Amino acid sequence: MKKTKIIKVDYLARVEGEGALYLKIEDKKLTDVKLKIFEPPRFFEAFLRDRDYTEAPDITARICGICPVAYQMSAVHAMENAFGIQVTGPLRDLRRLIYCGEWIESHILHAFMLHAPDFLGYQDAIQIAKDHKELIENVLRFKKTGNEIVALLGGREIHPINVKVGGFYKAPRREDFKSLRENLKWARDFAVEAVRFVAKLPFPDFERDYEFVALQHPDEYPFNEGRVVSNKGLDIDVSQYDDHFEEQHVKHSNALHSVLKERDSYFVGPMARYSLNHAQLPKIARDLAKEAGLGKTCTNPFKSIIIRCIESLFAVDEALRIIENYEMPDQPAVTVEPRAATGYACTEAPRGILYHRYRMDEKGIIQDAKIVPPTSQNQKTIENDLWAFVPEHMDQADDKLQWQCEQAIRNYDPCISCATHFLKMDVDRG
Amino acid sequence: MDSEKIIVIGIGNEFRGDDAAGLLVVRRLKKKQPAGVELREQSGEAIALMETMDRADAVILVDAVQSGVEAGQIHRYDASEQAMPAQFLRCSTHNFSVHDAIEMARALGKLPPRLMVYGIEGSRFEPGAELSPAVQTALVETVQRINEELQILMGMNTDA
Repeated sequence: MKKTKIIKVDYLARVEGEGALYLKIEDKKLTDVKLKIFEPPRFFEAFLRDRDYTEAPDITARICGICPVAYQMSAVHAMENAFGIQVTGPLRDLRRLIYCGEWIESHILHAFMLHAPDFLGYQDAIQIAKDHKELIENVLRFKKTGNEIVALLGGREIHPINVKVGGFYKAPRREDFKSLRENLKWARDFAVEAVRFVAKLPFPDFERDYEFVALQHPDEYPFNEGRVVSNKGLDIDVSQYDDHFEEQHVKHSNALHSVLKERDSYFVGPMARYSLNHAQLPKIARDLAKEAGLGKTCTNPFKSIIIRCIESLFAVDEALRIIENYEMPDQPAVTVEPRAATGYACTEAPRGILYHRYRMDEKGIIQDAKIVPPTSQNQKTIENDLWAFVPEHMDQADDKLQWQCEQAIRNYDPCISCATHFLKMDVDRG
Repeated sequence: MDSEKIIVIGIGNEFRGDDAAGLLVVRRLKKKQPAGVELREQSGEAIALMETMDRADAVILVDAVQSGVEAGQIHRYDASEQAMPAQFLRCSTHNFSVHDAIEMARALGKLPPRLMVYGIEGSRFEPGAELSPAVQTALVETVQRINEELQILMGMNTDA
């Protein structure tokens, strides 16, 4: 008689939003993997239609509570691309700075509050806090530094309101950064400690030959600008995105699966960014990566936790660099003249490239919008990781296997509320 | 002696149907601002929430819940006395939820001396949804109950 086993997780904890995992194992053979995501997915795109271009940054920022800055940055850059505007100098730096804040907040939250419990065998971060109070206090203080940047530039911590097409509503003065600078200096030291802490975690032996996709810029580690490149030959301007990527509807998920037309699934996020832009990291981050045992690329997704901490260190270091050199601009924004045009932008959200495309009429009213969040781009890669991981770990007890599968999903810090909403795991072994 | 700091925090997302309940309660309270009480609207972001709670002596927190009972039902927990039920306040789209923020604050010894949590059972949380009529009705009662609770808290203040 055929022996079927099903592993089901109806509600995946410690992922952003909700979804479910379903695994089917028949006669010790993995026969089905489904990462299910439920949510009316394209609500925001419809919601943007007939809105003024100025509204896009604030509306899209509502898609995600964790990465509103990413949505604002992709929105403003797409609009500026459409209207032929280039934002430079201090305003450009301030945009990098606010992104630093978001990476700091998002990465440390995921690394310690959501992912570290998997490695340390705790149910959640609250249990870690009971045993390692000082560590968690420092993590929270570190995250607060990120909040502080976003609040200072964005007007408030969540759903910043100070960002606009062309720049900001109000630019900070140099002296506004005084206390932040001191906090960032502390944060830089803690980031080093954080990297050293996560580098010692036990990592499953698991590597795959991924196609990494990230922005690449000649002079800097990417946030808002650069070409879209991969380690397998992709090298395009953002405006060519739709020629190379397509979104496929799969029955089991409300979030569309994004694939490269020429090949197939691909990988976005910290590990892709790191592997494609290692040379642009500051020396302090490169040295620490080396100390943590990382090479110039990394193909073990479980080690993404180390890279998140390396990128946190980079973000703190970059924030300090920007603040040191900052001179208040004469105007907080450049003048914007709308025109009938289509604009494109990819920026590096904490979880990977976030693509926005808008078509406007001559008055700047949005006719059509397309948003591709990082999690929907990683969805197929997450399933493929499980296809590779589960057969190697099939003989473990269900609960251990389930734990590791959830951990494998959390490698991606999936933001299902962006990709859409709701994760629930099934291992079907009959 | 300084009077105690009382903060009412409404949590939610106004783009997601009944998830707006906490925000709407606070907005209604603002119409007849109770003296000496700070009214805050928050998204449920854990760190900001923990910080707000940390500087208060008494907190009344209002959020939408999805626990499976009928929409509009009002839950009340005294979270200063006991750990929150694990499934409570987990409907937030934040993975580090309001529940986690409260329990994390407890683990770190940063919970305010008094913390009352009101949960309004919702039924529609999808983006763009309208507020359900049952929640609409529950808002009125929640505002009234919180006002009563505030009277008691302020009375305790005066006694002190």
